[in-house]
Amino acid sequence: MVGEKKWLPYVLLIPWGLGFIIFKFYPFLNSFYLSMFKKTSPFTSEFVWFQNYARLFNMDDYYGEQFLNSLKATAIYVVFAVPLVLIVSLLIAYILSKKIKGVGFFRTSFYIPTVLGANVAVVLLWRELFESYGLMNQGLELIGLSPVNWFGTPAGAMTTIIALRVWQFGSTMIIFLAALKNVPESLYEAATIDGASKIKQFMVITVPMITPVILFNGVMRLVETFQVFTGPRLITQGGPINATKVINMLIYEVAFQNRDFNLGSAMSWILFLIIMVFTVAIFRSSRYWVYYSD
Amino acid sequence: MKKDLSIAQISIMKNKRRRLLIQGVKFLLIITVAFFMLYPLLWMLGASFNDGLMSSFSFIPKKFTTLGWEDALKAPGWGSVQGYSLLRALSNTLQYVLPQVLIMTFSTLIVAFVIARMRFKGKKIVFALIIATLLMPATIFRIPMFVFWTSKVMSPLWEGSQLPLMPYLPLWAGSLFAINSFSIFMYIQFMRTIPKDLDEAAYIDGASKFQVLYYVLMPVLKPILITVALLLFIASFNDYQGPLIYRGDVETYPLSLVLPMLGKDSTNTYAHVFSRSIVGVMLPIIIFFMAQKFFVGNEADSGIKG
Repeated sequence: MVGEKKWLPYVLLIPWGLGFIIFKFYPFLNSFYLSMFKKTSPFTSEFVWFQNYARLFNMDDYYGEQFLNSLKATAIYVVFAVPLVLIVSLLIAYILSKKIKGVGFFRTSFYIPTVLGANVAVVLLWRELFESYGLMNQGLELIGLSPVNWFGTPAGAMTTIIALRVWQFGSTMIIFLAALKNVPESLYEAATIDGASKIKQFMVITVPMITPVILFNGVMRLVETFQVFTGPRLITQGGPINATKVINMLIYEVAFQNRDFNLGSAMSWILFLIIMVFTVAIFRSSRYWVYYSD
Repeated sequence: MKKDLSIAQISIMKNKRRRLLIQGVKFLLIITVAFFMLYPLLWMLGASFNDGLMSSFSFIPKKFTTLGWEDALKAPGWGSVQGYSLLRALSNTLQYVLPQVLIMTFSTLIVAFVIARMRFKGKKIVFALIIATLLMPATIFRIPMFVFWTSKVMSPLWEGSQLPLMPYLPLWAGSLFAINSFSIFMYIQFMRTIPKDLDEAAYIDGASKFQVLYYVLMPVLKPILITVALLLFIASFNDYQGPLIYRGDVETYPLSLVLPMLGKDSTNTYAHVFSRSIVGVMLPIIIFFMAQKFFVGNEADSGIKG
């Protein structure tokens, strides 16, 4: 283009560049730096190399044990929440993508819980739903089952926070819905002529065609669920016996309640590395199961 | 001949019946899911008007009361401050939600416009950095950012500040620097679907970059603008950990800190708890219904083709 100002893009990117350094790059490095110190008094600290990390993997250390426990709680949460969200949202999106009456109403009603997201009010209401007299137990009684002490057992408490996450499958569903619309109708027609059943069509056409979006949704949900905080903190308070004290809750306690930024940073770094390992592994594996049509 | 016809007819009828059956099963399934989605909310609404324990599956209040609602809208006060209503907490929340949404929506739009529509050296690096930060867990930035904001240089800006918006600076300052990679990413993906011919035509007529952005792209971008703004609103309004970490004086507490403080006790019945919580979710729901005409259908094209 004639007279295009070469400097314009750079000028426009200055705020972003500053923001990248202040809010991303610097804290990223500083977090690692902090993780290698140890507070010796309120005003002094000492460089200790990887001692904080060593502590976290030492089962005899109080925080080592707590950390391992939080990793376990987080793993259980992620292992159930991510696949459940993906399966439920994909199935619902599949049904909604076909001709069905009242699509608009259903799409809206499936999205409302997601709009409320990690809203504190909703989380508090969720706790009431699972109280001993709450809606859940009323419902169980109605169909002839005995009420459950949801917050009294590790499995019950974990179920309540996983259920909250699955209840909010809306945005994952919307993204699947968009992808399903791009699957060419001709593929289904050809399969119908060949006599393939609906279930077979779903497995052989639908799923392979949208694997890039399954990859996208899977990675986004994985990164997000590893960092869950509001639900466990307000619904179960990490209990019972720390069964739902996920890693982000432990980091909050250590760093912001006990003011131990150094140990907290070490925990954050391990969480970061775990998430990275999983993300890279999923992307690496994607060449075997993700199908790109173009 | 006649027999053949009837066999064909039977098979058509069979097919039709099967299709009806499948439709029925699908409909039943989807209605069940819709029930699970909406009934808890309906039940909570009922409970907010019920005097005493809501010990039934039905959402209809057994003993009707409006005490909870009167209290929620008047003045429960919280912690050491009495005489403030929840509406005050709501206005505290908006002091960081509004700047975050209004500024971030446009600051990230400009970054996306530069990347999607301008030619310059280093573009690939900038884009790679944005994608890299998209997947970085927020947890890793949290502690060093707190150290940053509470440092001697930064803390006078916001801690104990009497100016409007400023006590919440750490919660919205990032919007000035367009740090939300997800918005930038969504804008870029959307802009890629808009043909460049539109821009070219305007340039030939002598339009500047900003005129192209404002007059040519903005009208086409409207759905994605509303989508990004809504997503930013939801994330910021529902944020809990941010306000928890950067909390100031008790009277500046936003809804997300006030609501957990107001539990059940001798004076606060279930009706109180439920009505307050509904006050806490009302605004996101209202805004969602206002924006959804643009939103739901269009998140579709917004982003994920890459």
